[in-house]
Amino acid sequence: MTALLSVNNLTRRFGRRAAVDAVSFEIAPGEILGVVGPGGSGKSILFDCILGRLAPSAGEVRLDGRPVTGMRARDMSRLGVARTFQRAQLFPQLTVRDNLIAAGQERRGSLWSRLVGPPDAGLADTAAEMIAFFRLDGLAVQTAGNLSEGQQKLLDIAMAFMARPRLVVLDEPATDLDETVREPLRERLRAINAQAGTTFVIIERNLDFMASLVTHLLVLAEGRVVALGDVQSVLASGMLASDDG
Amino acid sequence: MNPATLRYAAAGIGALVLIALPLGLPDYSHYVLSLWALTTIAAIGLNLTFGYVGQISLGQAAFVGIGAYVTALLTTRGWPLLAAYVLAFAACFALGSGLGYPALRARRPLLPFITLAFGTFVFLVFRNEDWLTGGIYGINRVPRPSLFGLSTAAPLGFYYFCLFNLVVVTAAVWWLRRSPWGRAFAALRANPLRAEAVGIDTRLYTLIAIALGAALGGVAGVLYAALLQYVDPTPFSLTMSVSLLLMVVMGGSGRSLGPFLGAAAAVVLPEGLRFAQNYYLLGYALAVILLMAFWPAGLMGLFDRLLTMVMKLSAASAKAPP
Ligand SMILES: Nc1ncnc2c1ncn2[C@@H]1O[C@H](COP(=O)(O)OP(=O)(O)OP(=O)(O)O)[C@@H](O)[C@H]1O
Ligand SMILES: [Mg+2]
Repeated sequence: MTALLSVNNLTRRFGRRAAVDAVSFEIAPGEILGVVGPGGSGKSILFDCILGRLAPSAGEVRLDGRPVTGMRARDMSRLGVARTFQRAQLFPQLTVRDNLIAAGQERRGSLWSRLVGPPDAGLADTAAEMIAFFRLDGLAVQTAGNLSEGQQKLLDIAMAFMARPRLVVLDEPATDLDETVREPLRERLRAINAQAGTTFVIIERNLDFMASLVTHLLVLAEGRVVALGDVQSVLASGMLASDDG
Repeated sequence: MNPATLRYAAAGIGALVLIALPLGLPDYSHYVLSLWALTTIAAIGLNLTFGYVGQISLGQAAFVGIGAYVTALLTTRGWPLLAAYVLAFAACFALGSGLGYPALRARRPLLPFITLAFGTFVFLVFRNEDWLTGGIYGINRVPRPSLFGLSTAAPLGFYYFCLFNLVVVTAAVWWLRRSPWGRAFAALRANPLRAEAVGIDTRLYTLIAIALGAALGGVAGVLYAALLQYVDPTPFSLTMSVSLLLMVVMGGSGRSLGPFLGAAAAVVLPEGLRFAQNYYLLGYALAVILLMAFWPAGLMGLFDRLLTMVMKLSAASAKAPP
């Protein structure tokens, strides 16, 4: 079985320092990979290099076996890869519903149909589902910039699912969230994984959130992989004890 | 009444006012109102470029000029005005994309410089290529169109023709704005990083807005040639480009009604304040500076503030015990 995503010796240097240093891993469809490591260990930079926001200095990224190294973010999105951001990245002046529709519309129809077709690009129902699913009820016509920090984070996550992606890359989804929403969020991610077979890569420093969700773990320290494997073996190896960032 | 109904009602009342306004006024005012309507169209175009996707164009006058010269050249040779519309729109759309494309590939904001150079170049072509443009003498006897057998030769008739154009353009831009394209414009303006991450081709959409903005400049030019019935190079200079940009900013950039107000302040108000003569320009300059300093959101921003104040007052008085 070919890996959905495979990363080979990926390196990103800033000056002489390598923020990400020869990282390799693979993830098969339906798996959930957790990426952990102390602050500054290169987790976000690794994501940015995989997702086309930053150009890697060396190494290779493949999706379905095809090289996508350095591909632009929007082309990755067309291939069914979506992401969330460590600090919520929204369209603050738009409503919650418009944020969601904007996150899905480019994968619907042609450029022309997006001009002459329905204003909601046929996504009003999907947006409503996401609003309910991610506990943003009653906020559809709120301006996104006016939401609380936690609500913004949830909206940022919801946006990633609008285009029915195959692979979702989440950067610290639970970190800014209230205790009371963490558990429901985990349940929802688990449900999406189970029902749609969506593959996840998740950075998270909250190990409790992570431990019962992921199938595999990758431990980073100073940009290097120090442990990689299924959850049990990595936990058993004891590599995590000192890395609780 | 919900806000949407209120907005439709306001638009309807606005249209009725614009229809009734010239009745009983002298011919000259019909000319001024026609000028306002076509200037508004040029400003609506620039509002797409500047207000919606945040690109500065200093060449809108060149597109108005191209629209005007295309019209003069075609209609004096017996072509119908419709042909002028099509050619002006297509030429300006193509030129707009041609200027925008290299500008958007650069890391620094290049469009102001490219459009500035283009505007100067086009102005020189109008002035120096006598064989085509008639040089400084321009082109005379541009005919006015007839619509459904109705002549627009009289000033009032032509004003209604301009108003009809304005209504069509406004409706088209209204549609554009609420379509996914409009959402993409707003999204790439608000957060280009997120826009790219959700698959929005920010460069393509920006280019579309620039090209459509230029094309609307061309449409305004068609009306300009038919209004004055002659064209010469003088009006299509940097001055016009800058004053169009000021209208957009003054009206409230990115706001649908902004260009209407901005064009009114620049075209209609000076006519009403003729007695003030040169002091008007001084006052206008001062007003622009003050507005920018205190209400960068323009006249529409000012209007919003007044509206919220009135709503608060009326809410307070409704709450007060009798
Ligand atoms: N633009 C940059 N120039 C130079 N160094 C950078 C730049 N961006 C990030 N770094 C460095 O790269 C390293 C990895 O950063 P990164 O954001 O990936 O850490 P992280 O593992 O996501 O940490 P956190 O858990 O705090 O989010 C850090 O040491 C950071 O200082
Ligand atoms: Mg990080």
